[in-house]
Amino acid sequence: MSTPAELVEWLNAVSQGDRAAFERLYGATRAKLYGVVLRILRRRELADEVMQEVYLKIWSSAGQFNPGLASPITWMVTIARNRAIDLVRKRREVSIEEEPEAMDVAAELPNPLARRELTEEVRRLMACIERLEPERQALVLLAYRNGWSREQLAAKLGRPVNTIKTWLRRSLLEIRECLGS
Amino acid sequence: MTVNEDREALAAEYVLGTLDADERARVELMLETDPPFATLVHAWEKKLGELHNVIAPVEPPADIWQRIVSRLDGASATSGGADVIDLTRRLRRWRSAAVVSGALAASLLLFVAVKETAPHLLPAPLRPAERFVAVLQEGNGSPGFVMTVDLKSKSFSVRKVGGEPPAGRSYQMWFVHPSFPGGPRSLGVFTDRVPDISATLAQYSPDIVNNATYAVSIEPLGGSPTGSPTGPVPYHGKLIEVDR
Repeated sequence: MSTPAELVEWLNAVSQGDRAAFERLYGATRAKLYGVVLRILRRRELADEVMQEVYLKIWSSAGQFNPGLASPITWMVTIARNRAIDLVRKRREVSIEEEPEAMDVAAELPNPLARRELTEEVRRLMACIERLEPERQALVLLAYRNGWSREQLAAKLGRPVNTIKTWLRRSLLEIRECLGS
Repeated sequence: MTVNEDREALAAEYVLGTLDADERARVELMLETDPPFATLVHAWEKKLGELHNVIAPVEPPADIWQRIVSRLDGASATSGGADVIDLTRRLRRWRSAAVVSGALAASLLLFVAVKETAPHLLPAPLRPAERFVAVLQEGNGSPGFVMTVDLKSKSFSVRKVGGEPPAGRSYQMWFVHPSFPGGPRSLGVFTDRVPDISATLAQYSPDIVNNATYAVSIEPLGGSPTGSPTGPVPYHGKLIEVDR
């Protein structure tokens, strides 16, 4: 796996139009970003299309990456998630249960939560999420991993949308407090 | 919940990904026009960003890289809407890069002097643009309204090219600029006629008109009761030059 410093260097070169650096950046991040968009979109043909759009966007906006605001992989994942979520919100016909076979592929890979491999920042964040009530922990993680809307979360968890909204707000504000302390 | 907590929760839910399409469009508009809010969103991106570690990587199909490369190669030849907007942005960035370059400063000074005093002496591509158009579109790219601006004749107009508002609701047009302390300002309500946006816009400087974001929200019949957008903001866009 590439170091964040390498990713920053490549992003910088990409902002100058360096195709070779772009290819290295793609090679180092493609599986991470594809995992993120496939999880949200659940259909390979949509994920394939979004992947292309995401990397074209990375190519054209690499100069806007600010290492003071985010790590390079977080910046790239943010672009990918936003694009994928915007697309699913526009395609309401994509139901929660659709295309399970794409999910099986993701499920076969090793558990990404092998604790010792995680950075200090992730451990702190996970510790804060684990301080939430169990149902709310699930809520936050399901929302992030699957890009589900409040309505989808409400349907999945069998709770009213207003309850989900309240839980989300409280959970996020508690996470903020916990991280701040 | 206080107003601050509402903004905080909106930023956090945007980053988490639980907002619906209208709310996301509203946040994206705020990101462009409300710097303190953008700072909140970036802080949440940093807080929650590391969560990507809980998602298993999946190897993408091998042909995707080739498809990206061929789209890169083809990008300069195509003229699709999104590409045009992207290129326009890039062009602006190049221009602002040129502005800060020391080597260009001297000739630029002369250029600015000529531009201010005798613009007709400049070749056409260097004259200040006078005509602009904004397509106010939904997040998915569907156009809803087209706005045209002619700075020379101070004429501003808008027409509706998309669908009707939901029954019992009205479209209301707004514009917002970072210098507006109170947020978006109304340009009028669409009734059976389009609003006369010239009356308002003619009072603003070209700099504000050109750099503002324009948007249309869905309001109670007859327009927002509060003077600010109260409903979803499905359409928004910015002006781009059309006569170069």
